[in-house]
Amino acid sequence: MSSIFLLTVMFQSCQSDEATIHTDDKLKVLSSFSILTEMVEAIGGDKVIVHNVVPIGTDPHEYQPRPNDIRFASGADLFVYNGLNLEGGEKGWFTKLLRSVKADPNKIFKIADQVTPLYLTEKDGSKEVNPHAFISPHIGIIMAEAVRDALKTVDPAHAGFYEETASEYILKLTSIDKLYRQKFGQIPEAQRVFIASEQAFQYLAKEYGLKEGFIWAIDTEENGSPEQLMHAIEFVRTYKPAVLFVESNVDTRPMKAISNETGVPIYSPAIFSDELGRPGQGADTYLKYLEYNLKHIYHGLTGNMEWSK
Amino acid sequence: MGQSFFEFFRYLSEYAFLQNALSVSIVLSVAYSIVGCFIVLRGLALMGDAISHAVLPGVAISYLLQISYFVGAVVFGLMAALGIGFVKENSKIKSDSSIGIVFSAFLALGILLVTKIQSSVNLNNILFGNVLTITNEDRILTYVVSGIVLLAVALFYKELLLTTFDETMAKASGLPVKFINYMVMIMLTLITVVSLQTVGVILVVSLLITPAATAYLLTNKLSSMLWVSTIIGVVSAIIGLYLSATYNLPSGVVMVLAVSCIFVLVFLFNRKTGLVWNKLRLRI
Repeated sequence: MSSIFLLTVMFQSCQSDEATIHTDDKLKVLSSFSILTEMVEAIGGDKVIVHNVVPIGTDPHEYQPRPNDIRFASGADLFVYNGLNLEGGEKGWFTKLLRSVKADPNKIFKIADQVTPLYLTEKDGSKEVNPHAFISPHIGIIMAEAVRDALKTVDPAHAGFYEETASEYILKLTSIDKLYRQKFGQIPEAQRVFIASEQAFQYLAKEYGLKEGFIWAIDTEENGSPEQLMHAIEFVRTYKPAVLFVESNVDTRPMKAISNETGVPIYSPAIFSDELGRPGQGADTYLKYLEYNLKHIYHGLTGNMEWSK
Repeated sequence: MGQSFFEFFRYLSEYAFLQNALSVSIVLSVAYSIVGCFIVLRGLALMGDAISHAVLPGVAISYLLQISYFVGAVVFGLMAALGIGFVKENSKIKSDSSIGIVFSAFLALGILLVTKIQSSVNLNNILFGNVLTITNEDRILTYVVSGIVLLAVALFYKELLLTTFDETMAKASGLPVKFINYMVMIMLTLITVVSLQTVGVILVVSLLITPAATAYLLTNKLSSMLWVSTIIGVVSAIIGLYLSATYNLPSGVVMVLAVSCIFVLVFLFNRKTGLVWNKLRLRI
């Protein structure tokens, strides 16, 4: 009776005739999730049309493509995705989507390809790569370069344009990266203790010297098992973070349980990890997202609202 | 085993979330074991399953309107219950088909809403629930709702008993049969909705039906069935939570497996109708 899992949307490749319409000369880019989409839009400017697959508010780890996605994909000139298992890896939905539209391998670019992967803490010793590299601005720079190179490769006619927009964009990222170093550098080490629900902030924590706690390693697995909760509680009791952070896209109940248990308050508003904010939340572009997270993490850790660039 | 049991008590004393989970599980298991008896005796088992699935659109709409999920879920649960009755009474369609039609329509609507809203509230959390991370408000809600349901059973015990076993007789003696039937539906919906937090949509029906059905195999009287059902429910909740905490397993699933094991044992070995005893008796 409860065959909900059979209800997964069937999306056998609906290759329609309208797939190959070329109404204009813009480059059609299919991007897997909001952060990457915004980055491609920023660098591609008016030379590209970007279709975002995983909407904000939806888990990019597991997703069922909709008819619109398939339709766009079958006519796309460039496919970009994060990689590092964000889109489910080899057997994930993105690989299936590419296969179903028979995407040309020369048009597919894994944007985090040049990122040195970090691995999630797994108790059984198995190594699972952490997809959330983009949370850290120093990786954002690497990804912006990769987006630039992808655009230049499939659209050499506008190589100069992409070169220019990308260098501007990377300049902004570099100054945000500096700001991260500066701000976190100001906080005494004992106070640089950060905990959120998912172990998504690993790249950021490692690069900028934060001690990172979490409840679960990755959203796709079971969230809030007894052991996970006990571990997180032990972390909070040992390292005494000033606040507990929750991300925009997680169930807040497990963190509430930990707050209850330890008396450490939950910081509000939520910070962003897997996705950009919706318009009006102050994090609707990648650059704003990075600034937003820094501002709120800094505020949470220090209690200091003073924020000057 | 002994050592891990000791460990469980250590965990219990150390972690408030486990204490909360234990108290919620016990209170809830008392409530659904009692309501479950009436559900089983009235042949409404599938109704429980239907309601638990039909609340999904209510949960989604509550999220959209920023109100407590409880309100939306109860409204949709009752709508489903009434809808099922309405289809059955106003056509020649039998109750099982009527349940199938209504509940799957509600479920589909719920899934559509959840995908459309693109809420970050994980569908998994509604479908499976997690008693370990229950919030304080939800915990109090569970106590209050369970209290109300149990109070209602105590107050209307005689009426419930009569209408369950002999509706014609009850009608003849002037009891408000329809009212009592609605009351059972409302109790069923309330208890299903609060159980969503503990075990989720998919497993709710097991905890509702299995303790009562097991007790039904063991007893001949409603009063003793209620007691036995409650004991089975509470014991399996405790065992489930204990195994879950000790071996790091998802709590709801383990509770369901615990109560199912008890059912299998009783089914095979009870003196009255147990399969094994019957086979032995045949031999002798």
